[in-house]
Amino acid sequence: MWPMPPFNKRCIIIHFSPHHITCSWFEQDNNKATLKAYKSVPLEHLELERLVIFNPSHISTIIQSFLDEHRLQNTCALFCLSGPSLKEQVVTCETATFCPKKMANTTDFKLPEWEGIIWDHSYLYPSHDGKYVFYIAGITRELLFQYQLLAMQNHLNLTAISPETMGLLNLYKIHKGAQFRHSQLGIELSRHNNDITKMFNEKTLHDVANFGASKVITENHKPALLASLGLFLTRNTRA
Amino acid sequence: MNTINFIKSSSPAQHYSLKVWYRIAGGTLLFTLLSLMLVSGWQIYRLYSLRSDVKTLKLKAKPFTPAFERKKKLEEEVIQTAKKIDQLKQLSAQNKQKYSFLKAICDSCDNSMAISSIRLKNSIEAITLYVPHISSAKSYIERLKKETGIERLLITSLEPSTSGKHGYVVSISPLKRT
Repeated sequence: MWPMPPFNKRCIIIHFSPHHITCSWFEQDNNKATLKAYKSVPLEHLELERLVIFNPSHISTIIQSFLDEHRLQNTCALFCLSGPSLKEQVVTCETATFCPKKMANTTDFKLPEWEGIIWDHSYLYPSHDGKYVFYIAGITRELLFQYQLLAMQNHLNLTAISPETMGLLNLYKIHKGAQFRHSQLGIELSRHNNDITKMFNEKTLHDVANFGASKVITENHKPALLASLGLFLTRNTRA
Repeated sequence: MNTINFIKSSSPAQHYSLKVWYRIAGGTLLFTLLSLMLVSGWQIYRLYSLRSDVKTLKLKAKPFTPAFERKKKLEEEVIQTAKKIDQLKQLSAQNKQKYSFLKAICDSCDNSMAISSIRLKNSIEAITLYVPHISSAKSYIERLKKETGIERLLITSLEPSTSGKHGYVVSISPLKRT
């Protein structure tokens, strides 16, 4: 209990995907988020195959080098995951409240498949046939524990572990602000073939964040940064 | 649209409140320690200053030590003497009373009577005397009552005297209250 555990107000977002690990540091300036630093490291030796951490020391080295470079010890951390081990599904439900037992026979969503894993849902939009579309994401306990241990090893105050899609959906909602409508989200998703990353262009990005002139963001890193930004902004709006 | 988060973590607001709690607790602890240190420090200072005062006063009073000892001895002697005086006073008072009783017993006798024995304690216990007549015994009791102030003196025995000089042997004693 004593002394007080060290807390740092700053927050870093680490995006994990099987081929890249992206660390980003955002800060809130007035109403806009500013990208202070980011680093994307390709993973070529199956360090994070299927999101399972096979080489934690190498991943820790990447994270620590980013933290040391920007003096970000004991910061809050948000982990954003994107990969095959993360189970994601979009399901339709006849009721506006998500009830898996009722819909088990009517949709592809099979409850036994999701048993034993930690999962949660989020309401997306109403469909044309009067049904409701939900986004469901789940992760195995072992994998979740691996990421928690990784955070502990790097002395990070882990605040959230979310899927990449959730970060992008949050970014869309924050960008729209008071004009956000679930039905509009549905229209735009169907317009872009359910590829959320395509819903954001350069203008929308600069509306919510400053990326700085010196920082060149490649197209490969864009989804990771967008999801990270979405998670960061969600955390700040809730705080 | 609720955000999916696979872990339950403390929010930044909770972090902030925790920080505030730590600061308040730490401040209070520090303040308590400081005030304790101040109070106890002042008390320790007082203790040491009083000790040094006692030391200097003892040094100053050193030449008067024999006089103090003599004073103590004299005081003890005074107490002992007072005790002895009290004892003497008590004894003299007792003797005075006994003398007055004896004087009264003797004064009450006339030439025809003779005292055989007297038993005295704090008061008259018993008197045995030779009397020529019974009436003279009665008059003796009356006189003795007047002299000593003792009421209820009674003749406890009356026997004719074996010697030919006196008529009777009379025993007189006061009536004891039960």
